[in-house]
Amino acid sequence: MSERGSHACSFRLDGRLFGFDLARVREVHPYSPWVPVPLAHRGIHGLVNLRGRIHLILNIRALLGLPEKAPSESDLLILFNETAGPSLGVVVDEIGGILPLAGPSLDSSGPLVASAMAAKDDMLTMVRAEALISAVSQREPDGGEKS
Amino acid sequence: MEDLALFDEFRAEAREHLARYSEGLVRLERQEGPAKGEELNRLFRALHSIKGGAAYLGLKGVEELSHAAESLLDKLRRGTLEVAPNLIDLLLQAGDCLGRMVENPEASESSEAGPIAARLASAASGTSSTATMIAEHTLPPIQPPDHGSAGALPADPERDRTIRISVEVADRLMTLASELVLVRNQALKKFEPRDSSERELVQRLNLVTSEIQRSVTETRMQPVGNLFQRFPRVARDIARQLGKSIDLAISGTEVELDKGVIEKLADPLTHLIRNACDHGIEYPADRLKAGKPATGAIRLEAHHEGSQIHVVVRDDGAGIDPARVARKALERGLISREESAGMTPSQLQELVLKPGFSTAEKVTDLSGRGVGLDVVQANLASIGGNLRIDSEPGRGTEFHLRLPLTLAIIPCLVVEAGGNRLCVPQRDLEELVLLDGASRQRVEVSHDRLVYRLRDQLVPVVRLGEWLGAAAPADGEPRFLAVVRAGSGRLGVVIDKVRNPEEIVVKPLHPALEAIGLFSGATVLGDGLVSLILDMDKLARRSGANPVPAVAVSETVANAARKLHLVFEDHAGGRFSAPLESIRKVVRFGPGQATLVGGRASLSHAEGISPMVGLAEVVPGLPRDEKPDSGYLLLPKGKFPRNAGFVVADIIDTVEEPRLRQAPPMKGPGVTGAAEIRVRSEQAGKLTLMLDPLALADAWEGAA
Repeated sequence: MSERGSHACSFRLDGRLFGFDLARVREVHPYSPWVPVPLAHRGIHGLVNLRGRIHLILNIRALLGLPEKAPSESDLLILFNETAGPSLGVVVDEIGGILPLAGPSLDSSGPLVASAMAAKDDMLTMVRAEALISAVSQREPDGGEKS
Repeated sequence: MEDLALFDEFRAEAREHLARYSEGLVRLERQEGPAKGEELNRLFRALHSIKGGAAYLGLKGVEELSHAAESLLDKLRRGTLEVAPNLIDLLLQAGDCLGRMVENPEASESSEAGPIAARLASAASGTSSTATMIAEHTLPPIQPPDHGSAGALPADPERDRTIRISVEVADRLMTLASELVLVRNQALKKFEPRDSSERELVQRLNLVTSEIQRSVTETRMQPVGNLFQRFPRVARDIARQLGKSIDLAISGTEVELDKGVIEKLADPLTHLIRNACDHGIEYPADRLKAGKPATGAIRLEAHHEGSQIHVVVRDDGAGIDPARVARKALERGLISREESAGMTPSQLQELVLKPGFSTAEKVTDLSGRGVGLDVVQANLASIGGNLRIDSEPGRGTEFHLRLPLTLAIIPCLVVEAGGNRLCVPQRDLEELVLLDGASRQRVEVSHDRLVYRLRDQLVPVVRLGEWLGAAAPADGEPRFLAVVRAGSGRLGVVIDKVRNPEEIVVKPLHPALEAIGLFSGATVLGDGLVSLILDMDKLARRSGANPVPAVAVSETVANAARKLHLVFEDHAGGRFSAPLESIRKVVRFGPGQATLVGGRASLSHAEGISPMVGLAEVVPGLPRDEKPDSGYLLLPKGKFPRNAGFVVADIIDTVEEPRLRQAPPMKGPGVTGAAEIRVRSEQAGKLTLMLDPLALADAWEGAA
């Protein structure tokens, strides 16, 4: 099934180009340190207070199966609007700009990846922002203290 | 659509008028002379406002019915008709019907309105059998709906002093004010004032921000009177239905509570009032036989106590008979025969709070709704309150409710475990035990569980940090055991550090984190970072450490009644204590942090600027000390115009309120006694002067 708005908000992870449907993105925010949530799903980085609202920041690398990377001040937060879930954001390396969704594409059957698409010289992988929340809303197996 | 907005406005006003109307009608029966005339004027005015609004919006049915009721009231006002219970019934019915029509504009031409209006008209004209005390036979005067006789009445003085704002706007203001506080805190950290003009600017920003936050919090507060005013009507209806005579007296209506708490309190309290009318107060004949007045009395009152609100429902009815409760509980299989034999009368009485319990001999249409007192208790627990029963057979029953002031802001202890900074609600916290040396050994492994020997009880223990996946800290590190309430039992939680008590603004937990099953919400702390609020019930459930259930109810009550005291020292080495609940905040300060304001060393902190007051200044006879450059500032609970704080050198411990007291070596306002208090790090007790910080602040602010 192809999820296709008219534009993508593109971003890069390890140099690779990804995108979210622009209609689901509220804003791009500078990096702000989050507080980790104990026993949370590995796809969750933690919670951050942005202008009085608490946002849940997701680890999109973990969700897409990319290698982990320590957060840095140059990272950016992409924050979604309510259509993707309540007060939700992800950390990305850099923003790639807004790209029109034209060009030939190949639909994907994965839960998170919607399609792959040619964008100029690059390959753009579209990620379903609205699927992120259900990907992290399960409990991880107990890792608690055994006495 | 403009009409819709107008209609909403009308509806909101009509609700208030109707609430005042029913309340006034019930009062009317007991009033005499000028007070009665005043009441009738108020009732008339309420109806007249509704009529005017309805006429403007073209709500014919509402207009006609309020007109009919107004006409009858006019007769009562003129004294051509006497106030009689059946007339009050009719007027109450009219009010109810108006309420339904106002809530639902489509039903404005309600079918019930016609007959009620007709009965009102015939009562007013004195031809109906419902009005038996009619003195004269006149037709109601025909009044044009827009300028009735209310034109001659004095205007309602309260009207112009209030405005209506939507809950969304109020909530948004609350969020923004909290954010402003955080921005201010962070700005203060980055900004180092260089001269006095800059310093003054910073201090003004500081004060204004605190003031805004306080005022915004106040906008959410409402007097409990708004809720209480409906109960005289409830009691009257039930009394007339059952053929009882009940007088409901109300006090403390001015006590203010957060809107959210009031909303959640409505159902439990209605239930308790109905319960008192239905099961508590006896029939007049039975009351006379028992040597009581025929009219039963129910008292509903509210008052402040510490950071909580107490609401008491007391009746002088039959009380709860422990033997009957025991019989019912056995019948229903709630307890076994052996259990019942070992229970005290008050423990038996508490059984009425168990699910599946109802002692009514016959199912009236008031009870028998399948809802028991257990639901009341559960509802109260969901807002952090609790319920206690005190009953004396033959003399009456008292239901005692304890509630938090607000849902949005709760006092918490900020703790650290496994590198996580977490909030523990104070209401869950029973006591804090320092684990070092000998006491550390008392966390033992029993079979496959960790337990702690607390006095004569074994409490299951969770090592929170390790359980959250962190490595155990080095052996020498002192840690703390927080003894908390989880469900109806107790649990010990080992934490690494106790940071500070803080009043936090609770924000809902992100839905994606609910699956973790550990937290009840989140908050933003003073440094702008997020902290999660631990839910002890959930922790107990998920960690599998079953809380010890066998705590007798009476024992928990006794424990809850014993307050915690903070023990501290001044710079001259004197030992003092003060009730923990009387202290709003403890602020640490170091060299160079105090600034001079109006010639007095003052400390600026997240909640404003506080003059630093030495204990020797307020307690006569204490040795004066040099101006200390480091220590702690204790801020008393409550509002003081100058926001004074008291300088102490060190915080030593928290202990339970000492049982044995002695005469204090020095006297003064705010000195409540003295006692030998032993803190956990010492072998022997030390003479400790017990202080009341609120009285100290009163004395100082009064003298300054």
